Amino acid sequence: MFALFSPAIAAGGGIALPKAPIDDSDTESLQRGAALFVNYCMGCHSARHMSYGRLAEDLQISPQQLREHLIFGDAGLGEGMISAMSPEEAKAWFNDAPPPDLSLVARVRGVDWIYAYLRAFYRDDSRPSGWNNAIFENASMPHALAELQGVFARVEDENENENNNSGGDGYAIGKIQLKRISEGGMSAPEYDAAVADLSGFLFYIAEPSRRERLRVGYLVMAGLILTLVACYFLYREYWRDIS
Amino acid sequence: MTAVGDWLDRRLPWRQAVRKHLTEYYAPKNFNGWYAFGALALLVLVIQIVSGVFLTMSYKPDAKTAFASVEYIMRDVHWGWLVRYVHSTGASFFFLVVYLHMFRALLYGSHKEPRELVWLIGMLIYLCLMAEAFMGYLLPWGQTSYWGAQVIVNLFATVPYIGDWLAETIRGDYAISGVTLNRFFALHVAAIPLVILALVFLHIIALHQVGSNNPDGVEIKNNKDADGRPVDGIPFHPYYSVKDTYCAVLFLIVFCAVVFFAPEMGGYFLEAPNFEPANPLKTPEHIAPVWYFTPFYAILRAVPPFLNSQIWGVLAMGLAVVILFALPWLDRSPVRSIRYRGWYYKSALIIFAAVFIALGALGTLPPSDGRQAAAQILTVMYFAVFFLMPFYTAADKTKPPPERLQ
Repeated sequence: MFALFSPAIAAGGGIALPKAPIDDSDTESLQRGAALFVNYCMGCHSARHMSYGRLAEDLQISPQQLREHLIFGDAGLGEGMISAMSPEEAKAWFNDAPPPDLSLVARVRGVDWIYAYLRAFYRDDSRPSGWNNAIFENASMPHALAELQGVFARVEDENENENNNSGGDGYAIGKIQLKRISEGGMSAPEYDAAVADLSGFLFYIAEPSRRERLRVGYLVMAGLILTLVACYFLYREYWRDIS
Repeated sequence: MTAVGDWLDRRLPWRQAVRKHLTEYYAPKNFNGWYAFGALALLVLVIQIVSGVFLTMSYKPDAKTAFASVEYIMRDVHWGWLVRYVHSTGASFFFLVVYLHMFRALLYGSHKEPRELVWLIGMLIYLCLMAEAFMGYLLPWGQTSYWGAQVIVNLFATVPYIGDWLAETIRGDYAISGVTLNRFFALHVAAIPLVILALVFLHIIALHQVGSNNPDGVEIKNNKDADGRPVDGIPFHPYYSVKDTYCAVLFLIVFCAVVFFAPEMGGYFLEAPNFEPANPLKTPEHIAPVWYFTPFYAILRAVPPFLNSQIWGVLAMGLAVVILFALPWLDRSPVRSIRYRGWYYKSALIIFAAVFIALGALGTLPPSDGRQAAAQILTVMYFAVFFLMPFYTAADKTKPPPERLQ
């Protein structure tokens, strides 16, 4: 029955997405992801359903650290992670596509999509933002992490780029070949790890109760199986005299 | 304790009720696993009511706050995530259990004389369950909630002359809006559950009046001992209460496995687009109802428009459900159980189950020419199973059922 219900989630543009190398039990990775989110995403995006207080509790961040590193402005602990950009500004700057709230983006798109998307930006001067994306064609979002990853461009001639799998100097996403045109602050493996941290963080904020759910789940299953054994013997005992 | 019981019994005949419906309700001794689904449906009903009550404590039926209140339940209410997943998983399991319960009736002829009314009341419960599920699905106010409701309510607009008025009356607005959300909330948490509870009560009383059928389809009341008890019957309590308890725990293991380890069930129980708030300006690329409606949705899409009207698909979909009411009279077989029926009915039942599942699978997928043709063939087969039933059940070569349970 479970096999029947596990379809491959439709990928962006029909591209098979590789599994994002995330680990949501790694608190340090989530902390790094939170820092990236606050520094690089929250200029435009909110995560309004994720409260700072819950974040601090789950990620073992002290209220002091929280104030120093994660909360800009005077938001309270019970408040959601709201971007500094007002809805009016968002509308004015991005026309009809204001930056979406990211609280649940990992449940809408899937974390594999996020991981692939953040590694698929390339320069495209025909777009208003100057950027395009190999996973989400004509995305209106600019490459917010360009200073970390460096800049890539699309290879028009398919024979030009031989080295199409590594994240180093170029890689292929579906039919689109990318080549590096400038270095960023991180090496390719460092950037992939950072994107994994950020994807893991988005995965966590989409369902903060997930770890608790799994933990309680194992206990409940164990309890139910013991109950099942007891109920089975009770049933057999009563039914002994029925021919 | 006895004194309290006596005091109560003089004022309320509870001992008589316990005897009549539990300790001296004689059920056939040969129930198999299929017979657990009735009790399991009752269990799921209780689960839905209890979890639903807790959800209403934090849910806000308002277009501006509904989506956020569900996320608040999922994150900031103690055990809120558990209550919500139990309720959303319970909705799907309700249909799973009810479909298996109904299939059990088809297997052993439980819809046949003298249990026609049990079947009819059961069908009414099924209709209410569909309304309940449909209205509940709007409440999270996500994209699928919104657009699913939009599509289904628009079906009513295809009715000639009064269609637009009808759709507006259901919505309370020109499109699905906060007004619709409020009235669906009222119907979902108060009106329909009350009707379902009343119908479930009648379903059980009507069943106990005629007695339960069994896998042999033989009346146990035809063979009674000197005390007037059916020879092949055993008291429901303790024999079936203890067996149903065992089945209930088995069921809960499967249920909890989904709740705790796969609450989205790969997008079939909780759909990914529904984690995006409802946006009336952004139509999703592909709108499909939840899996338990997809067989009927596939029938709806399979019928092409005709004479400038879309009503034919809606009628076909309605008929696909309504025709089930006629089952006790379409089935002309002299025997009840599949064990003594001929291969006509056996094949028809296998075809029906396969067609229902195949239509359900097609209903989840976006349409294409090939799928459209397949859905049309399957729709014809679905109706053929019912329209031809009086003929093939009458012509079937049945075996004589035994006098007593085997």
